[in-house]
Amino acid sequence: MVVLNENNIDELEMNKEKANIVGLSNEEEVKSVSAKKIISTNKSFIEDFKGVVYKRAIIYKRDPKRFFQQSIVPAILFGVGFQICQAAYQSVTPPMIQLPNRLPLPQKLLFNPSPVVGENSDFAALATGLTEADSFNVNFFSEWTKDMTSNQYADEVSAMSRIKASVTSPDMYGSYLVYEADKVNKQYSFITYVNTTSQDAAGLFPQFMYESILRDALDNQELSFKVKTSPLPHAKIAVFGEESHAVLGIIYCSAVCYGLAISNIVSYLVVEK
Amino acid sequence: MQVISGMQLTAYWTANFVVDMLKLQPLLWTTILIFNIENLHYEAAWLTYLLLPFAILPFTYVTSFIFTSDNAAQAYTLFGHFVSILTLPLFVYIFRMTPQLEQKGDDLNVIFNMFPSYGIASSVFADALGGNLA
Repeated sequence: MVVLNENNIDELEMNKEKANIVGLSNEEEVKSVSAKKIISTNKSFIEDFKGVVYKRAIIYKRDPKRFFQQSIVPAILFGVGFQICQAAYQSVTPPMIQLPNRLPLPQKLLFNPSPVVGENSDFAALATGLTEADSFNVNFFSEWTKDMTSNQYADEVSAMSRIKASVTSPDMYGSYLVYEADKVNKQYSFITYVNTTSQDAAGLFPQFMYESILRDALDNQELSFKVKTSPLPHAKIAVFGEESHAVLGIIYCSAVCYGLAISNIVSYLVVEK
Repeated sequence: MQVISGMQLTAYWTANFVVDMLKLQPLLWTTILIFNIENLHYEAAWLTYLLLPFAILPFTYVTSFIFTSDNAAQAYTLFGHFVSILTLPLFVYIFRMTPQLEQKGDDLNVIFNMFPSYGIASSVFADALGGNLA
């Protein structure tokens, strides 16, 4: 049975005109011819549709790897890729006390043998009072003179660090120039020279000397003043926090996997053409 | 060849659309599943992903006429979607976060919405980080 709608009626009217041309005068005859044509058109659409679907199904049946590669692999990549993105974010080190033995080698230090200002202090105690003194290899700079400027001293530190420095494991991340060591008046001042290839050195080496100064000033070698590094909590970062990391993971994986899936589709269409 | 053999173009494209949409389903549902497993509470992004085939497939069919070589088609389509998913939404988001550029960011957003793949990334940004925008 054919349901006549507005489109079909239009077609029927057109066919009537054609019928007049070919000599079909009976209206029932015209309706019959038009209905057959409409059925034929619908049948052709369904058959063509089924044909194309069947053809695509046959292609994938013959070559299941292609279906797997075009449809399943992007999905797997998305899942794995997102987990990798998240894993990289979770590999933040736990809070830990920073000690010199965490540095790769016994750390060489250049130390001036006497302060520029102030003599009434057990100056050598500042070197031996450093945290885990065994981890340091203290070298008192024998050519030190009190009229040497801090820049000249820095040149010596730099020259010393170049002598035996290893690219992968530098044994010299910092050194000191003690300017003032006055135990009576509790006045201490020093300059720290830092090898900035270690991001922690700028914080650690001043702290090592602070501890040593406190031990010297308070006559307490057991005193402990440590640095504990603690990663900033993820959720507390104002804008680019944990959520933004998940977003970047989703976006990155979407870019790769959806790009892959869609490029396969366009490739098939171009080959078909 | 299909046209010469008398095939209806409507049937051809409809059938391809259905098959290609089915092919995209594993990827779409994996994405939505990950949203749920990871507790990413995106209000609308999942729907954008789910509706993506209705936009991306016609877009892809139209753009397929640009190319004559399948290798070029594959490479440029992959690159194009990579850029429109990864780079453009990030630009727009950063523009919108900067007070002096937020109007330009809004304008670019309207323009870039002509790319369906831009929409999915844009919706993720809006759902997850929209609160950071003024």
